[in-house]
Amino acid sequence: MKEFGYQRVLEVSEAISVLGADPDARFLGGGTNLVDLMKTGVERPGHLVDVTELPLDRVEVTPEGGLRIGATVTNSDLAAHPEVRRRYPALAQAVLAGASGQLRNMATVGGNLLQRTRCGYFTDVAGPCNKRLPGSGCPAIEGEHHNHAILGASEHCVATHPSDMGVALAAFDAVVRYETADGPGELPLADFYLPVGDTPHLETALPSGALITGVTLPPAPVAAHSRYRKVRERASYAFAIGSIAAALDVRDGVVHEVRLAFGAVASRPWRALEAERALTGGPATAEAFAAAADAELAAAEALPHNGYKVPLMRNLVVALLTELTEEATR
Amino acid sequence: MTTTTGATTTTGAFGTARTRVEGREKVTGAARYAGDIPLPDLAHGWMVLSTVARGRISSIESEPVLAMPGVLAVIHHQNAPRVNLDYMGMIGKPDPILGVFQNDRVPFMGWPVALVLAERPEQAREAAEALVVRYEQEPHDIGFTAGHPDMYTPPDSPFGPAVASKGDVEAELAASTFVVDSEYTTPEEHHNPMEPHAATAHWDGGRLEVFDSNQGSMMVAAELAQIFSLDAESVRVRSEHVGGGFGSKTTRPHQVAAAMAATVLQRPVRVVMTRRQMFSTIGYRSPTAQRVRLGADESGRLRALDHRSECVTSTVHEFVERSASVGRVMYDADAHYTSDRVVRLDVPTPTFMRAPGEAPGSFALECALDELAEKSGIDPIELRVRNEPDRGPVSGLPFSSRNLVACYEEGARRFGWADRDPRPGVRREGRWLLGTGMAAASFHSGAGPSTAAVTAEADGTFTVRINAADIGTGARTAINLVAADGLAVDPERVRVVMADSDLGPAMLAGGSMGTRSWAWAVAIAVSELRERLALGGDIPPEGSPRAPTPPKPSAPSRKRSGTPSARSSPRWPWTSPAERSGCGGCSASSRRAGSSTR
Repeated sequence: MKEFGYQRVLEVSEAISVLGADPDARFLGGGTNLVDLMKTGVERPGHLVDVTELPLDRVEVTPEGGLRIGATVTNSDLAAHPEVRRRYPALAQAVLAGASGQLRNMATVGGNLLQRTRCGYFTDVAGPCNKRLPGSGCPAIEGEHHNHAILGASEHCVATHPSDMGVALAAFDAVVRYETADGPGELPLADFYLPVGDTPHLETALPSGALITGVTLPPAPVAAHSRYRKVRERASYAFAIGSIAAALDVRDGVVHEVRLAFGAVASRPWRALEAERALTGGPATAEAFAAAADAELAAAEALPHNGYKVPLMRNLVVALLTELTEEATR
Repeated sequence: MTTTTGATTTTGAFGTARTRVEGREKVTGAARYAGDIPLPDLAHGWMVLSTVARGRISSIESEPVLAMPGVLAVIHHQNAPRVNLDYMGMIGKPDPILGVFQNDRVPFMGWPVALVLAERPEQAREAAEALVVRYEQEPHDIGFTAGHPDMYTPPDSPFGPAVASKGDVEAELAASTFVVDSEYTTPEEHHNPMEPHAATAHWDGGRLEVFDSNQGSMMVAAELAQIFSLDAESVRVRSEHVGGGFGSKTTRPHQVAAAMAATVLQRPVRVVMTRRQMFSTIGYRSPTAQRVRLGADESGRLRALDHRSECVTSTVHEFVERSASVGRVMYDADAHYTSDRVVRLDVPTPTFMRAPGEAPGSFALECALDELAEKSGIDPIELRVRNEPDRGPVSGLPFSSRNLVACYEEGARRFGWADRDPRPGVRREGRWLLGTGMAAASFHSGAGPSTAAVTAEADGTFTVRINAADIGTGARTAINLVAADGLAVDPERVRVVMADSDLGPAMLAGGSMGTRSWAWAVAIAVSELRERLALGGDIPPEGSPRAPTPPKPSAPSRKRSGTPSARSSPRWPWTSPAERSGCGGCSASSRRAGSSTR
């Protein structure tokens, strides 16, 4: 493990100037992913700038009825927040579906968005990986890939994004706020993660040296009737093999508004816009839900060992939307 | 001062729910594990494992690494002290992986090739990962397949013969009304415990002392003494807390590397394995390929039971996953044939992992029985009852006890077996599909000799000393309760000191025999102490014998004038408990442990 410096900062401007002055420095949030990667040598920063004491730890209701979530809010606090639970229940459920109580007490919102894939080849410094060592190859495509991407992947990388929280944020049109030396900026979550293409090592559109300061959720009344469901290989403390965040507004048996996002199927939280389009204005029936899932999954490209994810996601769509429909009409 | 053991009468503590004695220590982080023991001037070792599957080390470029911050030394085959592996350990001949850094051969990927020592673990790790080791690679074969051309029948072992047969299986199969012929495979399985293997070694007043995480401190101490050619009394191994073992925490390369480095550096050294390193260095369960053929007559009675299992071992050590032997005690059949065969490949050496043999073997045999039930239309329980032996099906020896049919009856009653719908996938409760099924299994039931000492202290408490290992099973709590019940005192008044090779020989925590073996010795020691106290033995004001001077293994009997303490001490060494080809059954022979009291 490489020796590194450590420094705690108390102001956003200080954090940015420290990082700007040292190209070998990295921000440290809860450290639940970065520190692990440092131990295995995947990440080798020379200096850590601890941002957890920055005044970015609040969850506030916006005048429009959305939420402003600070970047250093812990996963535990986010999931427990009454306004999150009331306005965006799928977000609270998604966060609670991730990791363990101890990890959620440490992990931050900003860090969660920037966590790295758990692909075993990415974390194994002894072998090739295009994400870790650009141009070295992707052993997952020929190797162990039962939990790899079926959507939006490329011949250069089939890794998935591991976040549960991000799936709910994607469904609710979250906007990521950041700060650079040049001032503040914003990125819709839809544009935050870059397409894989032939540059899987470039993961986000954040400008160099930027610090995530928070996430804004625009008002979304439909989100009050939302749910997150996660499928995993054991009942807790495991990453998803497929997950879904769904919100549904059904009026007289017709889908008035729907939000759908998939987890564990792509290099980023996957907003299922095709499915949403197929559903909106149509009947809220299992057949329609299945057809919408098929429309979204038509683009799926399965590898030999992850083809199960296609029916898995289809069944999740049908099951979760059926549940939400039944509850709404009860 | 006089203490009578009957002063506080608490009977029946054993068998009641109790809080784990060391539970608070563990959940608050106060419990110190082998990698947590603070020692002054402690150095840290990091193992470097081979990155090729077969070959020779051609060079180890340690010079650049020695210049890195904090690095103290690099131990490898060209500079390591020589060790001795010519001995017979408690569980057989030593795995050659214990001979760390003795030669340039690399028999598999993940073989220890060097140990980097530094002031801090992070420095050791950084340097270990930077160490360049060059190899002359050789062609390798790591692919386990059924019917591999190099598959062979291993010699008989203390755990039983590789092949056992009775009658003419082929003839009986040919004459059978119903025949099942199925193949089953199980993957390799790794028993990585929550706590990685860790050892902290130092020389203390001429003795090698190791704080370790293991399933039997006596076993590890005895092996380290052999490996470093030391007197048995010159090695002390302790493992007060162990975060899981499952058969993997025996003598392993980390203890040898730590002790070797402590000798080379002449300062304390700690070696902690990473989880990744454990996959090739601590053993695992071999994959298996099994074929089961069953032949039955019209009534479901077995005419033939044929179970052939294949597994893998390394090129340096033979370990056989004895999957086929389970049938030898399970089912009557006119003809029996069971065999375990093995192939040597360029892979890490497997070892004892959680019911070695029984787990994959029962899976295959019981699946085949179910298939026979399906084929013959006989209820799966009824089928097994019809083939229940009244003595060893192959050995012909009587069972000491068995009771399997009674287990079937009780299980069937509790599950509502008679009224079940045997069709799969028809019963749904909410989101869950529910099904019913049954299977039987066998595990040998033995015990190993153990010694225990119990002392009545001046303050009215009691101290039990036994070299037991609590690997997370709750053994410490169980021993506490056994002693408390025997003394008829509140468990709060009993202290258990354990997991220290200086406490004398005792069974290791393995084969589901630990607590059973230790409890015998503790119960006898306690009973003897009660007799002495009843005879009027007083406890002197100074009370307890000095804890810092525990008994030497060679002097198991410790009586201090005026200090009532009793010790039970059996024969040693322990010999193999498993006699599966003999009378071992569902709950078969138990060798008396701790039966002789000196």
